[in-house]
Amino acid sequence: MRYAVRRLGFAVPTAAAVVTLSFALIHLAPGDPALALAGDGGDATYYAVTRSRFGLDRPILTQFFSYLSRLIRGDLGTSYLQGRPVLSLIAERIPETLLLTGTALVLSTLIGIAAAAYSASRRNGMGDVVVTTLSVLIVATPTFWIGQIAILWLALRFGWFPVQGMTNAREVKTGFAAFLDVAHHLVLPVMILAAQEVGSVTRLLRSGLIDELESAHVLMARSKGLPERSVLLRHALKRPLLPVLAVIGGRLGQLLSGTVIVEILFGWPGVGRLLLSAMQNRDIPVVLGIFLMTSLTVVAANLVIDLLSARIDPRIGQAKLAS
Amino acid sequence: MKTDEKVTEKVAENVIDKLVEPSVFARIVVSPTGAFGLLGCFVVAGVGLFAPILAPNKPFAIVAPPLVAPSAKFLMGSDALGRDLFSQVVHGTRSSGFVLSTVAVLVLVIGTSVGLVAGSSKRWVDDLLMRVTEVVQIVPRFFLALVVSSIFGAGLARLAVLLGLTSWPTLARIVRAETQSLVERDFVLAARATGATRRRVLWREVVPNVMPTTFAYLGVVVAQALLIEAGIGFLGLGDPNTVSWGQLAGDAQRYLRVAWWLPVFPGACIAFTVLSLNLLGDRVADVIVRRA
Repeated sequence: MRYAVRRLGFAVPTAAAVVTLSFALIHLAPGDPALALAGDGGDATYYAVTRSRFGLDRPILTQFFSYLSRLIRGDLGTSYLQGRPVLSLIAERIPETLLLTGTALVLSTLIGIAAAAYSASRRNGMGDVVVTTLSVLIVATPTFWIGQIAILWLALRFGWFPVQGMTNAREVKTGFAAFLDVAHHLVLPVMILAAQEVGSVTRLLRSGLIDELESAHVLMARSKGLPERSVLLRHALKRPLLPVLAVIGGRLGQLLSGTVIVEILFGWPGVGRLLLSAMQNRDIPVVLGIFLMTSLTVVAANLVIDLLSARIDPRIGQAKLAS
Repeated sequence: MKTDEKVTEKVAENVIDKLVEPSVFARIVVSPTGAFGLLGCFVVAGVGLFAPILAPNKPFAIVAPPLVAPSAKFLMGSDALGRDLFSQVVHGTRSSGFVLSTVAVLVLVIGTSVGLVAGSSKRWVDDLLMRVTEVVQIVPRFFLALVVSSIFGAGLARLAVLLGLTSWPTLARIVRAETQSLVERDFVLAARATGATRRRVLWREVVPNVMPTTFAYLGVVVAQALLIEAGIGFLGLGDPNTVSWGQLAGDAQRYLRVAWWLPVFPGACIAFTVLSLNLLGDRVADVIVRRA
């Protein structure tokens, strides 16, 4: 409990730092901040309205506090391009992005665990070498390149998967057929997004698992005559899984960055696509809004994961309180 | 007399052990991964340095028909404007080298300083520095880089500096942990006992011992930064006045159906560079840190 309070006490300044950073970025932008907020295309009255709306004529500290209070009320500003609130623009894209990111997160964790268990139980064998080499290669490869190669081969050459989009635009389907259609479009982007994460989960878990397989309690389980399978899955896997859980928060940032790239590669209609078009048009409120939402999500995810790990293994909380 | 002989024998044994024991460098190079990593880094550095000599054409010069497949004359084919992809890729090495070295210097300076100070200071200073480190670590660098590129405009130097200013936390943590264990060691105590100031102890005793570890992890850190830079370039937010692998890969996106060579080669170069850095870093860490 004491740990929970302290951990929360740290998440708040972190979130504040992120907010301050985005406020600072608006004001450090070259030229008039009204220009950054309202775009290059408006006329003088439009800028005057923007200036008074955002209070740009008042002292900087007042501006900061009004910025803060608007954020707390969920007001991320207005997209000058579409003339709509940034928050609702982002919100309506979230389901698509969540589908992609969530599936990839779950899938990469599961595949990573399986690969690490397979590889650690055959240490230095043929299968281990293949898994280890593959994960080293995948971690070094940019997500967009894996995607481009996959599109070239799996989609264009063999035609197994659609190249673009989330649904087949030519025939609108309903019910189960629609579900299958989306699933078919989802396979390739998810695999590509998951690939890099599988690599890092496998590397992390494999080394932990190898140490654990040499520990006393695993020896004990073995000497009880338990089959190797149950030794591995029931006795050895538990402890090294905790670090895998602990890095999920950090992985989320990576994964979301990957999502932007994958969405653009495949024309997936999520937040990443919104971000790209906002950047190309210098729609700063939208760009900043997405930055804020992503950062705060990562901060929150890290908070949840840390509390969860401390709950599972109270020693983690104790150790962090002591240090 | 007899004890003397024994002592001499012991000393001789030690000396022989030292002479026979392979040097750190030798142990890095004998492993296949270390050799590959080192060679790869040399190749990238060499291509970057001698790019104008190695590239048959200027990167932006139109020298070929549009979209010709790789051939003896145009090793990696040409793009939609008829520019030689091989020359572009060779020149792109320079951008990558620039990003890698800028990030390396900044990360080395900031990460080592923060780690050293945190690891050797009073508790509240340590606490404060570590909190700052955690904040910097938690902000998603890719998104920050996107925001900065779209607010301030694209620029390779700006991007490299930004990545350097945000990539140091891992290194700071490692240096801090090393420093904390080093300041307890006998030779540091001895130095202190002779009246050396804190600054002298840090510079003369701690820094030389922290450096090898730092370098072992630096490779992986800068490789990560390169991947981010490539991602930004891929999205078309790279510096329009320079050639970079990520940008080339991004430009290729529109021609996937007609020109496989456009996406294949730039991406392969990024993967090769990152792989080399990771393998070399891993091997150095194995030899120096884990004493494998």
